[in-house]
Amino acid sequence: MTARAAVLSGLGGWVPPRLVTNDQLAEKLDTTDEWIRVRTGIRQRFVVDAGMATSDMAVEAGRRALRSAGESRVDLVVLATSTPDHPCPATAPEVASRLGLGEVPAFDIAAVCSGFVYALAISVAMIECGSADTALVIGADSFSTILNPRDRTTRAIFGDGAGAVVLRAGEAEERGAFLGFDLGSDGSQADLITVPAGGSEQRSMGLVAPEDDYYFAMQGRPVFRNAVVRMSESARKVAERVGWSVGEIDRVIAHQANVRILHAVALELGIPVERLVVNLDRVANTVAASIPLALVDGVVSGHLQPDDHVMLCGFGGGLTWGAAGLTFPSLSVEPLPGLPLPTRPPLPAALPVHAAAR
Amino acid sequence: MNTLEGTLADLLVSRLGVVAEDVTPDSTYEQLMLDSLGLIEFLLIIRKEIGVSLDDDALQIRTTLAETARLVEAKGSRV
Repeated sequence: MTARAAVLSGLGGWVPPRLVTNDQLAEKLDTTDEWIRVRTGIRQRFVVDAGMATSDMAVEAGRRALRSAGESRVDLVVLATSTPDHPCPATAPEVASRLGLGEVPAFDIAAVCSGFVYALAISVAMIECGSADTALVIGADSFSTILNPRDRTTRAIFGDGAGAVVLRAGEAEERGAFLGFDLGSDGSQADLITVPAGGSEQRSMGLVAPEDDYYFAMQGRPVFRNAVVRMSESARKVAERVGWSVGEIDRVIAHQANVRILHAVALELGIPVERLVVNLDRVANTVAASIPLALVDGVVSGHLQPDDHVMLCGFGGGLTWGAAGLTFPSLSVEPLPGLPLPTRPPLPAALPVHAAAR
Repeated sequence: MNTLEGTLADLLVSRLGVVAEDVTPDSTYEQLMLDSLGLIEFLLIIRKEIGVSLDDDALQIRTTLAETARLVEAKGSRV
């Protein structure tokens, strides 16, 4: 008897219509298009308009993923987000309801930029153990709503969006079956990526915190190093579990934090940068949405092909990280509305962006 | 340039696109046009290629190649 597995059967993404270019940011902040591009690889991002919430994007991405899978019902909805519509309750039940999915189990997972890999791991495990036959797994964040309007760095790095996949029960030998996971955390470095105020720690004090503490803050250098080391270690562990050599990984879909982090991951793994799927130049860092949006980009551009050995790896606040391996299936995926296809090669190869820009 | 400085210089040129003629033991990273993320990239390259983990803030834009070699040596490199 073959082992029961969870198989990737649908994929969809969505970004809000409002485009913000680097030049537009530079009109209001002390920054330039060149500074942002050289340091991050990002050219533009999409952000929510007033009144648009994470659930609105999650519903759009979820609908496209269900269409891609040819499903109208699923047994489970898991939403990875750090910017839920409300502190309480979770956003997933509303998303499930608005998608017409009925009274299915639905809950949120908070692991910041690693959230999608965490949500996948839980959903895959629920399918493998027979608790569900199908699942909709969404990563969605409207990070623009928690950025400090005066912070030129974070406002350049982050964008809003949602991406989703549909999983179904199948067999481990099938294309699309998730073959192995690795997850980890290090709470001793929780303060590297944080919104200091607004949670129980600050509220229990009964005092109003300084205004900046209500916004997202990140310590760039240690985050950069941890992201590279953790994502590459996690990818190595999964490759070993799955029985691939690192050289047999055809495509790496790493969290789209910064193109220089992605290039450093490739260097650390010893694989050519051409094996990276990169969409952050056009959507920036979309937090929990970043991996599924990069998957959409990979499929639509043809950079991801059926039978490719694909490694997903995420890293984010917590600290948290994780990776997952699968042999890519054949999927029918709609392009993101309003998003140009990647230029090929996706970005200057072989050398970090700062050297290439000189 | 001693052996370790030479190894570090080679890594700067081959991995970070620094112009070979610009690199001397007294070159600072600022002179070599590395930005703050470039310093972290170089730390990661040193970790991978030489097996020495320096602290995140060990290298600053005014640190020289010779000072870097001494830091790496103090952490036990035998290059």
